[in-house]
Amino acid sequence: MKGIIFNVLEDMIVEQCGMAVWNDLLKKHAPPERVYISAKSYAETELMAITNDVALMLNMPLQDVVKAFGHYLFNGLASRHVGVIKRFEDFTSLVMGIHDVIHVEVNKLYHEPALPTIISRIISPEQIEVTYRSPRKMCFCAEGLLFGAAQHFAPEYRHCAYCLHAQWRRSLYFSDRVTT
Amino acid sequence: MTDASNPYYIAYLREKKAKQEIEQLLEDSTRQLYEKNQLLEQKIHQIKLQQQSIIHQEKLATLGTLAAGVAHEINNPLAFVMSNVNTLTSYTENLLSALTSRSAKNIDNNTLTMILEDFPELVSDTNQGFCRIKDIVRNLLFFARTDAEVVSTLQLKDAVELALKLLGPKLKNVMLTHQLDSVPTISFNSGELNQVLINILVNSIQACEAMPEKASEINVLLTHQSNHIALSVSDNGCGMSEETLTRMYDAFYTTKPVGTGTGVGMSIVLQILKQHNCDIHVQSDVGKGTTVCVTFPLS
Repeated sequence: MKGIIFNVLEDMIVEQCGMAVWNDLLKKHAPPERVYISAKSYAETELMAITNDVALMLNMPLQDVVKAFGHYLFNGLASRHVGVIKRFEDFTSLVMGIHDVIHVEVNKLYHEPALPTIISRIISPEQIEVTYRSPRKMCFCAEGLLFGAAQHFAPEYRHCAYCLHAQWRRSLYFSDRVTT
Repeated sequence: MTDASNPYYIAYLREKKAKQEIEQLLEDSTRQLYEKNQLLEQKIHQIKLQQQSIIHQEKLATLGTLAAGVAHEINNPLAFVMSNVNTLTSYTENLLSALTSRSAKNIDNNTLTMILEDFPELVSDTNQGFCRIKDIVRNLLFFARTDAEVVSTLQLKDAVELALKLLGPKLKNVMLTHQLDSVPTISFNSGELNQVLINILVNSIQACEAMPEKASEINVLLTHQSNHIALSVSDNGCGMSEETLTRMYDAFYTTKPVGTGTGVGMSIVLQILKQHNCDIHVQSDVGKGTTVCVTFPLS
C-alpha cells in the first residue's frame, strides 16, 4: 500500500479525531519511528489495523469506516493531483477512464503500485457498471472513492446498487437520477 | 486547547504542507522521467527497426555481389542440361517415329545402339545438372533467410562450407586453403551467421582483388580451443592502414569506390557478433594482408 494512502488517512483522522488519536494509533499499529512517504510502499495490514481501531472507537461497522475513508481519499488524491482530475469533464468520463487514464498516471508515479482491476461499462445513458477485482479486497474503499468522485462532479449523483460478490469482486451501479 | 489553536498543530500543518510540496516536486520529476523513458523506449524500438532494415539492405547488397557469380554457377549446369535435353528430344523423336510406323527399320542398328547407350547417361547428367541448380538456389535462399531474432543450434563448419560454396565463383582466382575442424555446435541466428561469414570472406576476396599483381591467397581455419571456437580468415590482400583499422566498424565508413560498397558491412558484423556474445579481432598490414579472427562461445 502506497504511503499516499496513509497520508490521506492521517489527514482524515487528525481532522476528525485530533493529532493525539493519530499518534496513539501509529504507536499501536505501526513500527516505531514510522513515517509515511507518498511514493514508498507499506504493509496494508497497518492500514487495516488503524481503520479497524477507528471503527471500534466510533462504534461503527468496519465496512462503513473503510467506505467513508474511500470517500475522503478521493478528495485527498484529487487535491494532490489536480491535473489528472481536470482531464475529466464529468463523472462518467472519470469512471470510464479509471483503467486507461488514472491507472496509467499512477504507474508513472509509483513503482509496483499493485492496482486493482477496474472494468467500467456503460449500461445505459443513466447507468455505469463498475467491477472491482483485487486480492486486497478493498471494494468498500473503491465504493467510497466512487462516491467521492460522484460528489465531486455532481452532488446529485446517487448510487443505486449493491455488491454482487463479496470480497474479491464487487459491482456497483451508478445512476445520475436520484433514487432514494 | 483544541488542535486548531494549538501552536504545535499549526506547525504540524505547516510541516505537512511543506512535505506535500516536496513530494509534489518529486512526483512531477518522476512523471517527467517516466514520460522521457517511454519516449526513449519508443526511439530505441525505432532504431532497432531501422537497424534491421539496414541489415536487410546490406544483405540484399551482398546478394547483389553474389548474384553474378551465382548466375554463372547456374549457367554452367543449365548449358549442359539444355544441350542434353535437345539431344534427348532428338532421340525421342527418332524412337517415336519408329514406334508409330510400327517398324524399327526406320532406325539403323548403329543409331539404335548409340541411343540406347547414350540415353541413360544423358538422363543421369541432366538430373545431376538440375540437382546442382537446386543446390545453388537452396543455398542462396538459406543465405537470404530473414528469421530475425531466432537463435538456433548450428554447426559452424557447415555454415563456413556453405559460405565458401556460395562464394565459389568469386574464389576461382584465389588459392583457397582451409582447415575446418569438427567443432561443437554454437547458438546463433542462421541468417545472421551467413551474413557475418559472407561479409568477412567477401572483404578478403576484395582485398585480394585490390592487389592484382600478387597471386591471391585466402586461408580459412576453424578450430576448437579450450573454452571457445575460433574462426580465422587470412588473406594476402592490400591490408588496411591504422586509420582504416580503427574506423572499420563505423557505419557508412568505406574505402571502396563510391557506389561499390555500403560501408555498413563490418559495422553490422560487429553488431551481430556482439549480440551473440562473440569477439572479433582484426590484424592487418598494408600491402601484406589481413587476418580476421572471430571467437564464438561454446553453447
